[in-house]
Amino acid sequence: MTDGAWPAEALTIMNQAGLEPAYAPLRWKVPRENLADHSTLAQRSAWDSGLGKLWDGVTETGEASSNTNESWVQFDLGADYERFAFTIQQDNCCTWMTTHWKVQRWSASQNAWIDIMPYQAINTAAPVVYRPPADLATTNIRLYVRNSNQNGRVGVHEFSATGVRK
Amino acid sequence: MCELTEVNKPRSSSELTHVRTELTNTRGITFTNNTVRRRGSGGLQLLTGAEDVAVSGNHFHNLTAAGVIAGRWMDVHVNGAQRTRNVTISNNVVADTGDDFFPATGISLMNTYNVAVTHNLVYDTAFMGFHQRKAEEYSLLDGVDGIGKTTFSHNEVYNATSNVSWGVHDSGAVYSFGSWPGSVVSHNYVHHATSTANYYSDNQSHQTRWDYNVGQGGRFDFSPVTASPCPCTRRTTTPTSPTTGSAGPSTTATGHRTW
Repeated sequence: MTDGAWPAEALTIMNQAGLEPAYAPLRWKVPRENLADHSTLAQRSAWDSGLGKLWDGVTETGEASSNTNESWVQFDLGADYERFAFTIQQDNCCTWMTTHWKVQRWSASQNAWIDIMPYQAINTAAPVVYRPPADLATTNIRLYVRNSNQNGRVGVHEFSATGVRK
Repeated sequence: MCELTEVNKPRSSSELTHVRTELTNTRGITFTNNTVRRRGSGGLQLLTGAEDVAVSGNHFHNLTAAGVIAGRWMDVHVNGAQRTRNVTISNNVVADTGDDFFPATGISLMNTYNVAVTHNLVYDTAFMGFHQRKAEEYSLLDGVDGIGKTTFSHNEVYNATSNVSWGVHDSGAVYSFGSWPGSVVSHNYVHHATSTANYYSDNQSHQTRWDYNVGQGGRFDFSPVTASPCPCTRRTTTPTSPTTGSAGPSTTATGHRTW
């Protein structure tokens, strides 16, 4: 690749792979349990190479982490969703952990990221769920996590977002 | 003779049913526009003697084993009439296999002949997304009652081999083992594979062409192992991966034998 651009030949192969146009709607028929995963990952701040642990659905594989005290990861859901539920889980222990988290949505009309919820404190290793108003709809979400402890660094075991396509 | 088998057993849990759909000694079956989900087994199994079968436009998801399994492990020596052959598997979605069975793949071929797997979307599989395997590693059964002639092309595979984090290794999103003469793997797109290998031509996988496959963020692994004596000339084509894929041997990195 040059400057992040894919060669035209590769792009053609990529675009022609997978379901043929007549079957394209099948892609969206399999219900998705977590909207925030590798397939919707859009942008991210600096994380270590294990960011996938954030959405692998199990805590036994360890935590996604970064060497900063605040990190974010952004997901493009591909369409408007509503009736969200956001769930986060961390180990509440040691250097890498999470003391606060929040989720933002992208507002096209305001051309800005808007807090769905302001930073919330976490002080448990159990899953924590936040449900915004059911009619809140968005296509893009961004998870922020922070470790406010002295010399603290970010560590998160799991994050999931569920919702219903609008 | 046509045999379509649905075996119903009591539910083992509220999540999965012990149901399986099998075709044996069957000719001319079309399996299309179905949703097959939440089974404690594979989605569709084309077993001994399944011939001239078309599988298209289906959803296979949340399964213990693979979405589509063609052929049987023990059928390596069957005669031509019993060979699972002349099958097309196209425009299907296979997703979420192996939550409770780590060797679960997306689409698997075992000792088959003339199977075309095209334009499928396969993702979130515990093990390989596409997997073909000849049962006997050291018996080069090229041409014996027909094993081979697989076409795997224009498929999209992502988040295959997702159980690597559990120590399930030696795999690739698109994987071949054994000699499959006349086979072609081309024009596929693999991305977000969790294994280090997007494409993996493993032991004895000679006589398969790997052309014009695109891989994002992973390798092309090539295990240069052939049985001895080998009656044939290696004809595996150097894969063309115009982006990030590499074609070099990686036996050291993947821990495979070389001799």
